[in-house]
Amino acid sequence: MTIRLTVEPDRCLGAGHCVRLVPEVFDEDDHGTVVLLVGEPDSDRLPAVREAAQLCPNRAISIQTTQQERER
Amino acid sequence: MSGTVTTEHIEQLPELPMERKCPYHPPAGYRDLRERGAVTRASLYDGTPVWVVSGYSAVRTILASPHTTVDVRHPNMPIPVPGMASLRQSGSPTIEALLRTDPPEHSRQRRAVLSSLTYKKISALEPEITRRTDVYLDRMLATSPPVDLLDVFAKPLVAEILGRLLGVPEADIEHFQTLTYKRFNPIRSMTGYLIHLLTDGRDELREGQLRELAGRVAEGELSTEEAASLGLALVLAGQDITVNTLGLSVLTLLDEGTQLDLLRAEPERWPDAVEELLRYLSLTGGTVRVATADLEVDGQLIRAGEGMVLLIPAANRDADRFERPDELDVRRSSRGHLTFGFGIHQCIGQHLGRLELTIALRALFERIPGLRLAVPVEQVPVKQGVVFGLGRLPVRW
Repeated sequence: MTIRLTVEPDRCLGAGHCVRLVPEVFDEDDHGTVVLLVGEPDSDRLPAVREAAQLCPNRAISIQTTQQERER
Repeated sequence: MSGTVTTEHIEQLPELPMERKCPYHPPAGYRDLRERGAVTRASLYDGTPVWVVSGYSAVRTILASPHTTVDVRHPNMPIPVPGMASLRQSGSPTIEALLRTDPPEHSRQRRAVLSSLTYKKISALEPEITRRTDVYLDRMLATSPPVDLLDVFAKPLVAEILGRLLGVPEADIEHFQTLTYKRFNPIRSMTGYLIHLLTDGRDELREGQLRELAGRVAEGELSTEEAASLGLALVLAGQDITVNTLGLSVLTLLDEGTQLDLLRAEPERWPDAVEELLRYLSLTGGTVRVATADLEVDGQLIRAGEGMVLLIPAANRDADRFERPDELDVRRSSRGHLTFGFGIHQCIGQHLGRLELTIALRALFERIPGLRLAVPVEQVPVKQGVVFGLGRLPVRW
C-alpha cells in the first residue's frame, strides 16, 4: 500500500498535533505552520498519520492510500 | 406564534446552567440531555430557549463549522450564566480578543500570539517549568502542613510560568502574580500593567510574547490596546482553568489510588494520564455559538441565527466515542477529547497546559509520596461557574 500525504498550509492553524504525534513525518516552522517532511511515509505509519489528520482542528492534512497492483 | 414555540411552552425544557454536584463528574443532568438527543432544546436561566449540544460528534462538527459566529454582540448569542450578561453590553475589545472574534480578525489575532505558543517553543520550556515547579515544592515542604495546595503551589506556579512566557521583567514577577490571582477582578489592573509594559516599560521586557507584540505595535500591525488585550486574553484563559485542572487532578488521583499506583510504577504514562484527566475532568464551560447558515447536525435543523450551547464535558463522556466514559483510566488514549475545543478557536495554549500539568503532577506525587487531603473530600470547597473549580485544596503529608 502506498500512502500519499498532502498538507494545506493555508488551512493550518499551528495547533501542532501532527508534529507532536508524528515528528518523523510532520514538522512546523517558527510560526507553527505545518511542514511536510515525508510525503509518502511507510505504511506502518498509517495509524499515527490518520490520528494526526483526525486531531487537526482545521483539516489541513489529507491522506490518500492506494493498494499496490500486484498483477501486471 | 409558531407550533414549535407553543410545544416548548407546554413541555418543560431542561434548564441551564446545571450544577456539578460531584467535583470529578459533569452535572448529572448532562447525561439526561444526551439521552434526549445529541442536539436538543433547553432553556437558559432567563428562560431563553436554545439548542444544547451534548454528543461528541455533534459538538465536534459544530466547532469545526465555518457557518458559526462567536461574536458576543450577536443578539441571539446564548448567555450561559448570569455573570456573562455584562459582556454583551460592554463592547470592550479587552474581553473579546481572540476568544470572541471571527475570521478574518481572529486569524490576524491568532497569528500575533501563536509564535510563542507553538508545540516546539513550548516543549523547549520543559527545563524551566521543571525548575520552577521544584522551587515551589521546596517552599511548600519547608512549611508545616496543612497547606492550601492551590495557594502555595498551583496558583503561583501557573502565574509565574505565564509571566515568563510573556517576558515580564524578572523584578516584576511577584507583582504579576499578585495581579493575576490575588485581585478579585484582574481585568482593569492587569490591562494597565500590560499597557505600561508595551509602552514605557518596553525596554525592560525580556524575550517573550509581549516583546513580540510590542514589535507588531511598532510596525503598525496592532494597536497598543489590542496588543494588551491579547496579553490579557492569554492570562485570563491560561490561569484559572489550569490551576483548577491541576487541583482537581490531585483530588481525583488521591481518590483513585490504583491509578496513582500505576503512574508511580510507570511514570512514562504521565502524558497519557494528563490527557485522560483533561477528558475526564473537562472543566471547559460556556462554549456558545450562533449559526450563520442553516446547519443540519445529528438529524436536527439548526437555523441561521439560532443560538447553541455546546456541552464539552458531556461530549467527553459520550459512550459512542469513549468506552466506559465515566471511568478514569490513565492507560487509555484520550487524545481526541474536546477539552481544548476544536476548529479555529481550539485553545492556543494547549501545549503549555499539557506540559505544566504533566510536570507539576508528576513532581508533586514523586516528591511527596505521603500527600493526602487534610479534610474529608466533601469538605473541599468548590466554585460553580463558567469554569468549575476548587475554593481551596487543603493537604498534608
